[in-house]
Amino acid sequence: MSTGIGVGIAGQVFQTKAGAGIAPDPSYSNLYSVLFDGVDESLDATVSPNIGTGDFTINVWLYKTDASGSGSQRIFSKQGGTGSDWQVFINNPGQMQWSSSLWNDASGVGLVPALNVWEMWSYSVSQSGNTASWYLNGANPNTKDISGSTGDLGVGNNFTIGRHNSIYEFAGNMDEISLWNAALTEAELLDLYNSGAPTDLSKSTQSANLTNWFRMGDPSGPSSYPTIADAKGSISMTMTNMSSANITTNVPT
Amino acid sequence: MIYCILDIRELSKVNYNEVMQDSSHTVRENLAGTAFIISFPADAVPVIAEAPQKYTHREMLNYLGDISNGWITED
Repeated sequence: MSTGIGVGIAGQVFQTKAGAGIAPDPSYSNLYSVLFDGVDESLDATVSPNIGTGDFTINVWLYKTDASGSGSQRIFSKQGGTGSDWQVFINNPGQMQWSSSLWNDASGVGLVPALNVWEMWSYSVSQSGNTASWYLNGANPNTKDISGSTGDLGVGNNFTIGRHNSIYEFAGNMDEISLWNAALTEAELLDLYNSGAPTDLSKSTQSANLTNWFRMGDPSGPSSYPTIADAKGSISMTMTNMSSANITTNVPT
Repeated sequence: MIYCILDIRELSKVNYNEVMQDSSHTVRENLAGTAFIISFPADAVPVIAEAPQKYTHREMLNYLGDISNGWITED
C-alpha cells in the first residue's frame, strides 16, 4: 500500500496528501517546524516585513498545544521604525486577533485555534478596499470594514515571532509563515491550504506577491539553528533561548 | 525541560552554558523586574537551581498564566 511518502531525484523526501490529487514535487518538501515553549522562546529580527500602506496577507500554520491562560498568546509583533506598530496574537477568549493603533480585529467566536491540530490561519487585508478578513484553513472568512482606519503600517526595527516584549504564552509549533503584498482571496487561500498540506509558495499563482517566507527549519533541519531564514525576502530571524531541538519534525501533512 | 524562577539579583551569577537561555539579556523577567526564569534538562540541574522550586513545562505555563503572579498583563 502506498504511504504517500517517497524519495525525490536528489534524495529529498517528499510527501503528498492521499487523494488530494497534487502531483509529487521532488523540489519541495516540508519536513520541519519550530516549537515554542510559551515561556521565553522566540524568533527575533531587527527589521520587519514592509507592509506600509498597501494591501497585505499574513499566513501561518499553527499547532497549538496549550489552552489559553489569562494572557494573550503572541504570534507576531512589529515595533518601532516607521508607521504603526502591529501584533497578531491569540486573545484571552481564544480568538486570533490583529491589533494596531489603526484598527483591531478579532477572528470571531466561531474562529478559534484548536488544540493539537495543524491549522492554517490567514489575515487578508485590503487597505485599498477597506476590508480585513480572518480565514481558517482558507475558508469561513470573518470580514471587518476598516473604512477610516487604514494607514501606514511601515517597516519596524523590531520584529518578533512568539513574543511581544516580555509576553510570550504561545506554546506549540509554527510553520510555513508567509507574508504577501496583496489581499489574497478565499480561493487563493484555499489553494494554499491544499487540504492541509502546505505547498511550494514560489509556484503559487500569487508568487509575484510573496514578500517573506519563513520555512521554519526547512530545508536543512536542526543544522539551520540558530537562524530561521527568509526563503523569499531578506529577514533573518534569530532563535532566542532555543536549541536545535526546537526545529522539530511535527509538520502539517 | 525543568523551569526555575530566580531572584533578579542572581542574574549575573547564572552560567548560561548550563541553561537554555542565551544570556542575561534574553531571560524573561516578571513585570516588576524582580525575578527571571531559567530552564534546563531534568538530568542537568545547574548548581544555582538546586534549591529553588522547580516547575514542569505544564506547571510553568499555569503559573505564568495566572495574572496574579505578575508575569502577564490583561489586554
